[in-house]
Amino acid sequence: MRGTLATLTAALAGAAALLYLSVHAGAQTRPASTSVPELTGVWSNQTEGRCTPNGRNCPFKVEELPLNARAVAYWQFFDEPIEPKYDCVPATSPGIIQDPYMTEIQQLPDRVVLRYEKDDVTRVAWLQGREPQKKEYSWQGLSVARYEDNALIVETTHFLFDPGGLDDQGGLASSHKKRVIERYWREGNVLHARVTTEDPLFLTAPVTFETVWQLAPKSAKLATFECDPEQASRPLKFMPKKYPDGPAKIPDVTVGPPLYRGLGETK
Amino acid sequence: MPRVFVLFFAAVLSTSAVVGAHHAVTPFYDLTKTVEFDGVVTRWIFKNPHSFLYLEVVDEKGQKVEWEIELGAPIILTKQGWTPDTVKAGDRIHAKGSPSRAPGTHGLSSMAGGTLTRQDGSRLVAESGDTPFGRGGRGQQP
Repeated sequence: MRGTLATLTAALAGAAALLYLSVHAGAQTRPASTSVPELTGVWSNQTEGRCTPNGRNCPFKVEELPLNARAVAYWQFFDEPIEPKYDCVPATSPGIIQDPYMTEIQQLPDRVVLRYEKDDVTRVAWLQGREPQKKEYSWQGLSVARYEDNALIVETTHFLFDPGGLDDQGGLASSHKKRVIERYWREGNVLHARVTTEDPLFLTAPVTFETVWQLAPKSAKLATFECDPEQASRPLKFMPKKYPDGPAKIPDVTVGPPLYRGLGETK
Repeated sequence: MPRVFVLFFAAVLSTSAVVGAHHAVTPFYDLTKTVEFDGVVTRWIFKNPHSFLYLEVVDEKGQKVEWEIELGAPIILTKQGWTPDTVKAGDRIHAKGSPSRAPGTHGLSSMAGGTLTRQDGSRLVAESGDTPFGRGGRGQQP
């Protein structure tokens, strides 16, 4: 028994070492290694068990989320029109991942391309150990990828501030410190994703959701979204204005950031 | 070990009630109210991220009012059999759903349990979210 355990432990240690080397030596290629899952294809959202945006499969409430005081204050201040989506600015991850649209994954030797029907978004996750540079901040952030235990791991950082970037639906912002870790694995013709989001400026702990897609027929192709800005903003008139138009008077300078208090005062 | 919240996003959604994939429904429509009316189609705009159906409705005072009914994204409605020709100007539709919140507006959400019914009784949008084309649904509005 003890000998078997020792053999198993040695085997696991060897496998871990090989995995470490394969990840850190760069030049990650598919599909020679069995640790590289076959994810290339079009994946359909029409799958039972998917975490649908209507909350049917998602029983948790916002009160249970690990929001910090800053996030709660922002949530209370949030006004729907400040969401850039109403001008057709695309959703970011993690929101884009859980929307009920089709997704396409293409695995290449040096990158994984993730395409979304929604908003015509294309994300590129770089393999081969590429690291983000300091100045590479962008709306979708910069994604790097690796293969691990027959799963694809995508880590995205270097986002810009996004007024609804934590959820894309409920007025929770994300900062430039947002980090999204996606783990994709396949069971038969079902693609699973476990998505974890960290944001120390708004969250006190990581948040995670899981979702699934069904492999679409080989003939399936992603349609183009071609968001129409007029259509995108049309619903806004149905919402009572949270803040009145026109110039606003600051009632008390003490409510502003300390740096600006007393600015313009003469002595 | 950090605390992990599974299915975080839907958590938010469950508080903001029913949502569409592009935006939440509750900021725009009052889900505690239901209105229904008959109208004649004047326009059908089939563009992403939302399609809109316009109905000319005669109100209780005999005045003509144009209602704007929001539907899902054509990119998903198309997969359920919808086309730019599914509805034509002049079609008579019975609409039922949640009204818009802003005073003086005449918006209606076909999402969140709304229905659209043709004069012959066939459903364009049923409460379950299914369409007469037999696909989609499960309460999930595009």
